[in-house]
Amino acid sequence: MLDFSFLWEYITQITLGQIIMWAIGGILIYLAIKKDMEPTLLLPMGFGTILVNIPHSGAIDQVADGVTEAGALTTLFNAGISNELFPLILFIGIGAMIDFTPILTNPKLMLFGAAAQFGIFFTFCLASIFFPQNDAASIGIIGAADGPTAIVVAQKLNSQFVGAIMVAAYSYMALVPIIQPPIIKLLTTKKERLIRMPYKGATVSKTTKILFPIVITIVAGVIAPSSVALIGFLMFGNLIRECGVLDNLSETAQKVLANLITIFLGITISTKMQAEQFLQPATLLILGLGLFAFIFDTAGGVMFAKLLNLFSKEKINPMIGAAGISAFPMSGRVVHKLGLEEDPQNFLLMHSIGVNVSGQIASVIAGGMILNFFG
Amino acid sequence: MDTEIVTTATEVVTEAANAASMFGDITFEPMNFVSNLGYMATGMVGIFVVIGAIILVTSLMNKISTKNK
Repeated sequence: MLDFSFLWEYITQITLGQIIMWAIGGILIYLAIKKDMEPTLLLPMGFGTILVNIPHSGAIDQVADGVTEAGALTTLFNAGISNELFPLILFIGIGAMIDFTPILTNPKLMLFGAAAQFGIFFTFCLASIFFPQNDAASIGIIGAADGPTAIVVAQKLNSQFVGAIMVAAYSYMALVPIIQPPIIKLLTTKKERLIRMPYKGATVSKTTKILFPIVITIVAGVIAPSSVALIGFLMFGNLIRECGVLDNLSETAQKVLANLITIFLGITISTKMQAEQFLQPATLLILGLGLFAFIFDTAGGVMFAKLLNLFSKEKINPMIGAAGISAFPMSGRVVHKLGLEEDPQNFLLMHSIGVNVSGQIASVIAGGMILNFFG
Repeated sequence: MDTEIVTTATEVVTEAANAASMFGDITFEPMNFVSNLGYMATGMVGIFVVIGAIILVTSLMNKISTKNK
């Protein structure tokens, strides 16, 4: 008599939690494909979520009879995420993609990038009511709107909620066009939104563009040493871009390297999305706190611009402060679009993109500050 | 009178904390918000200091390169 029981042996071991995680994985894939929300990350994460929630999944480490059988995704996690390698390498690609010209022509724009990190610290304080300091700080960094920084900080602080933090960080980054406009409108008057800011285009020398990433690494590294890996890899990527003699490397970093790491990063992070770890009340709370972080970042930038307007002769459209979060270039575009909605002749793009780029630098510095405090 | 108020407040907070313990890793320590505000102030000042230094250096580089032209 042939025994076919092996065919349904594992089917009977499927838990409700795993089915819920399949649904969550499906939602992430749906959002990536249908809504075009951060598809490069949400799609691998969604598929990975399904992969790791299959009973006795061979993709992750399994212990049978006291013997650990290595799973490919766990091996990748240990090799690339637990030591922060993948996010840091991804920063080389991101650095190679960024053109810092808007902030080099108007360095003061960087102040808005600094102000818009308020949400990180405010959310940290809020989260500390419910979580230990290391987890609270990792949750706060969701407000950096910067996936690699969030991973590095959460990993270095040994947070147990890396999966939920990643989902929140990348989902809200994709939701910037929905989250930011109501906050901006709530905090500004129509008169303020109509403020025009003429763009004084200025040329930046090649020497300045080359020196910028080197000098930033030294300045940020000396003041906040914990941020040096984050800022250093970002600026190294930018140096490759700007030096003018490494075009092939720059192109590789922007495309092949960034894409390759993104694939590994997305699917590997899903090892932290196993039902028993992810389906906790804490996850919902983290998603809520992450939203708070984005809201208060936006508010911080807008309110800082309004504060500056009290003292400056040349008025600033406070909406550009909201672009100080690191979600690049979505946030810059959102502000530009809002400006055009109020006045079709008001072009804020150059200013908002400048602020947005500075948010990239400031969020990395904020990550370094958090690591200085709790790392 | 003051001692009574403090005792009642402590009891309320303890009860809330016990209720919150049902949620596994989640705790309820409202005073942590206040005690961590110092980190918020230091962190924000720190970011402005670093960004301020970067603005100064960038402006200086811009000035030097303009002069050289």
